[in-house]
Amino acid sequence: MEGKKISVELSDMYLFKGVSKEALRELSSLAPPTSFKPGMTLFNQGDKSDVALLLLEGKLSVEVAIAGQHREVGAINVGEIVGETALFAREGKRSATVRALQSCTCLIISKELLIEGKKNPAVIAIERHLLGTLARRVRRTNQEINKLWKELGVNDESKESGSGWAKKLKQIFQGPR
Amino acid sequence: MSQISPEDSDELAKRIVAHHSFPGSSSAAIERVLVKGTFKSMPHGAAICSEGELGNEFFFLVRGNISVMRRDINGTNRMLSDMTCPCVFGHMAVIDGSRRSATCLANGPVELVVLQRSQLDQMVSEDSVAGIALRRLLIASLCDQLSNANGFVRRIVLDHGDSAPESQRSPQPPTRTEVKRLSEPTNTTEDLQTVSAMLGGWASDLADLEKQHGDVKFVMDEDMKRTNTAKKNR
Repeated sequence: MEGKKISVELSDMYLFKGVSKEALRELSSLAPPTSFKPGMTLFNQGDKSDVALLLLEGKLSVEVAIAGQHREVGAINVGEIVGETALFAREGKRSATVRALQSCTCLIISKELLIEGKKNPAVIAIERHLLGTLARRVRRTNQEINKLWKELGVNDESKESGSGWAKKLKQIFQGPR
Repeated sequence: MSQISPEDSDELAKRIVAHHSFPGSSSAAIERVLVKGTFKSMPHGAAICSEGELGNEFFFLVRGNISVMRRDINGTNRMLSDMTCPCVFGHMAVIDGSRRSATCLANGPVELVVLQRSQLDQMVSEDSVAGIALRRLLIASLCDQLSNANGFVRRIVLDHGDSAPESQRSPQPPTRTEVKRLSEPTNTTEDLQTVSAMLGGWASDLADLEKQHGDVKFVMDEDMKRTNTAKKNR
């Protein structure tokens, strides 16, 4: 992942509301904002991971390859964080491919930043933002599982050919008919 | 109200640090979090938290097993999974103010450290050792949950191949007929919901959820409020 380091006004961002300019200056010096051209791949699914990105400008796409097929599973908008699992989970590999849909500017969040800047109010703001974002993503994914189960339940009703997981989902969410 | 013993706190903190990976993690920092909570023992079968209720507490499991249950569409409680030490649970509802998504029952006698919403609110904003440790531990725990849930979806899609439901297929642009139909004047709820669904809007998800849960009122978070305000101002 290579990008060009540039300067950007962090104080305009909602997530840094109430954070002092001094703290934001320190954040910028620890992690200078970096720009990416449209079409650039920032992460590749399966790559070793060590940083997360906070999108300051532009838009990113998130794609997942399942059984050889690429599916666009979402987009990352300004103010959102992507790739946080690299910092907080043991997996260590990218679960999706992330591309720049437009010219983008990102703050690169590394483990070093979190260690060196642990008391910086801007870093605390990023972590609080991440807590809310993750809670929302977990809830949304759980809703997606519910939705999948319902759709599969209807599709499989006539053929009863559900595989192990589909059957387990049926047992969990629907119970015996 | 009692605190966790120093021996239990030491052991649990070490197990948490071994289980969860986050920058700057240390068992000493986790112990500073645990000491702020209330130690509680519960007998087999006791409900620690119940699906649908508002969450004002979250928990660290010190000893024992927890069964995670969820009501199916017939209203019968079904077991989703079980949890063993070390784990932190019940924090999602405390973080985002939503209702509990599952019921947790003691499977045998259990021992817990209970922390209140007010303690979480205070600690996640702090630059203290305990504040940093709690914030990062909860992020790590949510990353694990998200990773597990994504893996679950992936396996369903893999299992079903081409029969994967519509919602899991790559989004396709609307057809000419759909574009024509969408460009015609419309004011019915059904059409608005169709448009919203085609655009991948979250409003339809919330409407569906509110229908499913009846008495549950979903609260808009800051991102949603800003999106709505921006739409209105456009």
